[in-house]
Amino acid sequence: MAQYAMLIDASRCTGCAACRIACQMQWQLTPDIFFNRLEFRENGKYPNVRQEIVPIQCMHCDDPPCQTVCPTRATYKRQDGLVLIDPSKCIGCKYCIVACPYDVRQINERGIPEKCRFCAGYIETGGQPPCVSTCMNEVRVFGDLDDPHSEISKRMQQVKAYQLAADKGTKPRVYYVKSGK
Amino acid sequence: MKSFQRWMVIPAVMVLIGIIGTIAKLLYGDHLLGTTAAVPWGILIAGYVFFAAAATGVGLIAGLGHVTSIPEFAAIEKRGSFLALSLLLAGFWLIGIELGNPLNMIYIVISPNLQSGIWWMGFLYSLYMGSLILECYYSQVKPEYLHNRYIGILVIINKVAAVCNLGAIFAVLANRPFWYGYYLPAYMLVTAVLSGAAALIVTVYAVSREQGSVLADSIMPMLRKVMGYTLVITLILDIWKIYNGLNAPDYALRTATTALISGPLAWRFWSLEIVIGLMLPVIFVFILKYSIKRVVAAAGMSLAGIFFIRLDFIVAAQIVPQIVVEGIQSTIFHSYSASLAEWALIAGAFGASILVYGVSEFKLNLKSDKTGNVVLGPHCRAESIKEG
Repeated sequence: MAQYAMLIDASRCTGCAACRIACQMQWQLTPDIFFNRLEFRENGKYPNVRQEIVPIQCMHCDDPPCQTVCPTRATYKRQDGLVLIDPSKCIGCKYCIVACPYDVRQINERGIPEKCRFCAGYIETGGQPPCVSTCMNEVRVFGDLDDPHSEISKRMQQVKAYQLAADKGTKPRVYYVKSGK
Repeated sequence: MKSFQRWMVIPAVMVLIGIIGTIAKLLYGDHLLGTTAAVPWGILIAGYVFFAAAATGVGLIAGLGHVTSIPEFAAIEKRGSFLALSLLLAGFWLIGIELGNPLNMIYIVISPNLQSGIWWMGFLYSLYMGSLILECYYSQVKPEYLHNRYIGILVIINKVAAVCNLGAIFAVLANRPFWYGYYLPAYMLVTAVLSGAAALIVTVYAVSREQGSVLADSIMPMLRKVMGYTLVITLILDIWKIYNGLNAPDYALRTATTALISGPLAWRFWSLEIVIGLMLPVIFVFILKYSIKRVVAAAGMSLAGIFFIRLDFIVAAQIVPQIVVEGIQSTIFHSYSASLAEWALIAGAFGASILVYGVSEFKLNLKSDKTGNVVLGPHCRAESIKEG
């Protein structure tokens, strides 16, 4: 069984937001709904200040609080690691939005708290999520961690990676490259 | 009769406003609410917590009549059941409209997640609703059935579990430090009893005033004590919450507490929660000379204060932005203000609880005498109450 994950090298991000638009096109989202976002921060002290851009999306946690709190199991975790939503089971209580430490859920026009799906249904056919394939700087690498020959497995060996808000104990499947390594 | 009709006009208008709000929400969805992805729970959730907790508090106090032989509790057991049912129905109205897809509630049964606090809330409050409907039914048909001590104890356990779980829904969220922690279920229980006592005081006074009975004279001292003690405990818990929050190492907890005491929620916190909701009622109950009107005024202020305690409790934890990436904070506080449609629904819920109880009071026999013996038939109502 594949174990999907993503590695993000934020130091390569230019902030063009093509990933966000590609995702919106892929899933035919309305302009106000987006499954990934860019956060900007300043780093360093004057005069050596630089801007860092951090892409954020659903972390497909191995211990997802959104799944734990969902009263109807509308949010579920697949064996390959994807955290998905069954809209037909969602009652719209928004508990998952409140419980998510990454603020990645967005309510769609049908009242479903949506989020990144790691392009379920598309990746199984060998495709790459559009946020990955569209990026001109190859900020994101997506693949199977169980396959030692996958690009993500190789890259994970080469870099020092970390997870966002790891102290929350959610065990995210999205890793970030520690800059300078 | 005329007096009753006159008093029911206001809640009926409030219900009408609530129905307009309901239709608007059903037609336009979440766009009509003040909530956002950053602050997904707003005044409707606060209103639900208020009504559900108050219904549980009323049920806990009145339910003691089923399991004890204390005459003061027995005298309000029937009214308590109907009042709790009215409050719970109002709460269910709010939560039903708040849910985006309430018809999918079927999956709570077919695909339950027993780890979820909301699942347990649905289960425990459905049980409570069922027991209240039975209590109300038997209070009219076979009142002696109400005095089965074992069933009474089971129902009380159900009530305590329901209201503690209501607190636990918030308390388990580790990413919201303002809610997270073990003290919240206990806080919810205490404030539920407080709001229940306050609601019973206002109700008993209104009924006594309307029907000229001496019910208020006999029951008010006991209800005053319950309200007074829970007011003091709530005040102490609030002081502890502020002290703990301000000295917490956690940024989110400190900021949420600051939002309450000197931030965007400060005016509401100090004026409506602390002064009107807690301090003035404590003064009215414990310091000023006892009079029924003062106790009723304290209860009214407490009820208003508790509503805003619920609102601030819901909002404060969410307006603090979560720090996902260290060094990045989009804003100091997210904003939330209830929309017109949300206020309309809240007005409707208050109106519905008053209207349902008022109609029950007028159409049914809700009286018991002070010794707990149920008065049979409307013809002997006034006499029996006066005897009590």
